[in-house]
Amino acid sequence: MTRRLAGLLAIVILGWTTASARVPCVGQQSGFRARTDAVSVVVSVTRDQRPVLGLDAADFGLTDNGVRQSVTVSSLEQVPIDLTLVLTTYPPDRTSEYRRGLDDADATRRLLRPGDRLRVIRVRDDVLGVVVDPDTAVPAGRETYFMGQALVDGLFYALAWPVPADRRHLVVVFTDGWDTWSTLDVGMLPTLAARADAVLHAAFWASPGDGGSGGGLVGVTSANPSARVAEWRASYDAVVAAAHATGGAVHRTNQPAAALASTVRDFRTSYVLHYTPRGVPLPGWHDLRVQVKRGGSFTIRARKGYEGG
Amino acid sequence: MAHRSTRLAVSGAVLVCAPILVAAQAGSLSAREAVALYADHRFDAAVHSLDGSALTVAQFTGALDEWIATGDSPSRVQRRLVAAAFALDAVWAATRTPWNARRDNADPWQRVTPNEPARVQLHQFTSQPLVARWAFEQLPAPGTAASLVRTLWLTAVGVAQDGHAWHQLDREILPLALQRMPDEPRVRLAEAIARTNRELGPLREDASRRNDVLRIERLPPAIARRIPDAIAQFERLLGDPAIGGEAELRIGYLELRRSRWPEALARFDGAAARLSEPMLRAATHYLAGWVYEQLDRPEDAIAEYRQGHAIAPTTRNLATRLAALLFLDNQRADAYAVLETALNARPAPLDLLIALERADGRFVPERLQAIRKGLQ
Repeated sequence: MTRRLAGLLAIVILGWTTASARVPCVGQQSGFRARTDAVSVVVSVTRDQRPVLGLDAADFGLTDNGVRQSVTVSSLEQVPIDLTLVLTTYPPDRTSEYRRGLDDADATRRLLRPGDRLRVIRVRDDVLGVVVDPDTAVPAGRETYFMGQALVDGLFYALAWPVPADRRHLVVVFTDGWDTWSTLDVGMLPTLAARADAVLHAAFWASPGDGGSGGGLVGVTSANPSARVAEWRASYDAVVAAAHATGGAVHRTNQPAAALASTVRDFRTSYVLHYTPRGVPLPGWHDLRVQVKRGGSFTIRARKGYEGG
Repeated sequence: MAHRSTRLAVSGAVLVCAPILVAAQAGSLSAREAVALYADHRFDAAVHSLDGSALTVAQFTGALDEWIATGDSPSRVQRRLVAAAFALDAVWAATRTPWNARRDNADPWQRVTPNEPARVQLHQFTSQPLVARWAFEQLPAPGTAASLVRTLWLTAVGVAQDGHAWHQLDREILPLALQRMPDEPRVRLAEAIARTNRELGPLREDASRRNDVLRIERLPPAIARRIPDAIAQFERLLGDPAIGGEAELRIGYLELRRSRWPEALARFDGAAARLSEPMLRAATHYLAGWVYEQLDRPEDAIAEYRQGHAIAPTTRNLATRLAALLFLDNQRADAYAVLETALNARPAPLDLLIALERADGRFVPERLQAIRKGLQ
């Protein structure tokens, strides 16, 4: 027993009770904002880590499977967003400091506007999601031990939320990136993310590059630490790939509240490019390329493609 | 809004190799007091009054022995029955912990009568075969098929199976049971299960990983060579209408474990046609769906998973796999509905694979209810 338990995570985290609002399902969707012939792509444009505002359709170039498309542009500024926070483990040496940034619902809600929705998913060896209703307190749970972290399952659950077509979905995960307990293989995560409508940002508080003292390896005695680090790296890389596939970004931070605020700001100042695919058959996978035609050096983030059905 | 509510219910984490927290209720009565309560038909109060983390098996059964001995000679037979029922009921309740729910299929000790009752606490899953063995010793030969004693015998077998005591079952417990119930199909099936588990081990490549997720296993050659013999154990039972379908399902699972996909699917088809028990039917479809995934036939996998999901909608591995396939097939709303129902169900049901491995452990709750009714 001792040997086996030593190989498992035993992590204390506050668990939620099950008294929670359930997320209503909306109608069947046919893919990444691809409604038969209409495609929408969220694009973030920054320069020197600041959003570039005031761009219009003439400033963007977009190719769909290599074929240039004619786009229209709208701003996310006026679009209601659905924000999903995925909360996993916290850095053990800074538990109180780290949690202060995330456990205040009011602070998080100040980032939202009327009409926005907030959903919180707690990931440990199981996954539990709640929609946080401003009029209802999320009941406090109790500290429980658990054996692992079903990160991939939790992220799939987060990304799969079928939000209505007139809204945009932002997922932010705070994590060390180490999956130890999912049903799904870590290799599936980028594939699933690429087909999701959401934009995923990953805020890491540790990485496999930290060595044996970081993240989920803390406190774990393993007979084969290099194998554990390799497992960690595989899932960490899968989360990074998933974020990039959705047009999101990865952050290394010990200040989750600031990271969340900046991510939401970045999302709100993004653009949405709309177009009807021309010259490409709709079925199958579509590679997307987005560029800004203005002179200068920009950082452009957009999803890498979509499944046309 | 600023004054309302308000914490997102998030707390920090501390990474520790922690002692196991157990779900056992804090004890308010001694084992002897609790069994007296049980004899008074206050079953729940008796079972939950024990603190399984503060009581060794030796202390527990010793107290029950004393309680039996305090009765006069004629009453001792009845006291033995009550004490056996209480022992099985109490050990079952004490071992319903998250840790116990996720053990792999390994026999914890790999040999007969290995663990010492003086060292094993009641809430540890290794207590189950010890208590089951003690309960067996209290029981007379069963009478009619519907008798209380027969139910107690079968419950004791189920408790030992839940404890994965494959060696002890094969060498000690089941020979006793077969002597008393040679015509009982479930005991014959239990014998095949115990023997094959004893010979094959847990069929897991790495016991330190999450154990309820199906993976392709690279079986050691020595284990793979034993699978035909294990299959033969179950083939002998195929003709029995009471257990033939389950035997076929278990053969299919062994074929799956050695990655013989067509053979596994043929067995699952055969089992599905014979089985009526919901758990076994759901497990059959789940395993078949997983095999279809390995064959890169997602539509067939979805069809099998959907049938299993209709029976067991909150089993997470099945639901998560189904949801992922549906999502990739652009059936988004279905995918999310399947996922949400399963992930948010509390308490989470035992995984189908784990339930299958624990064999008649799945019948223990209903048998305990029957025993309580019989005692009244």
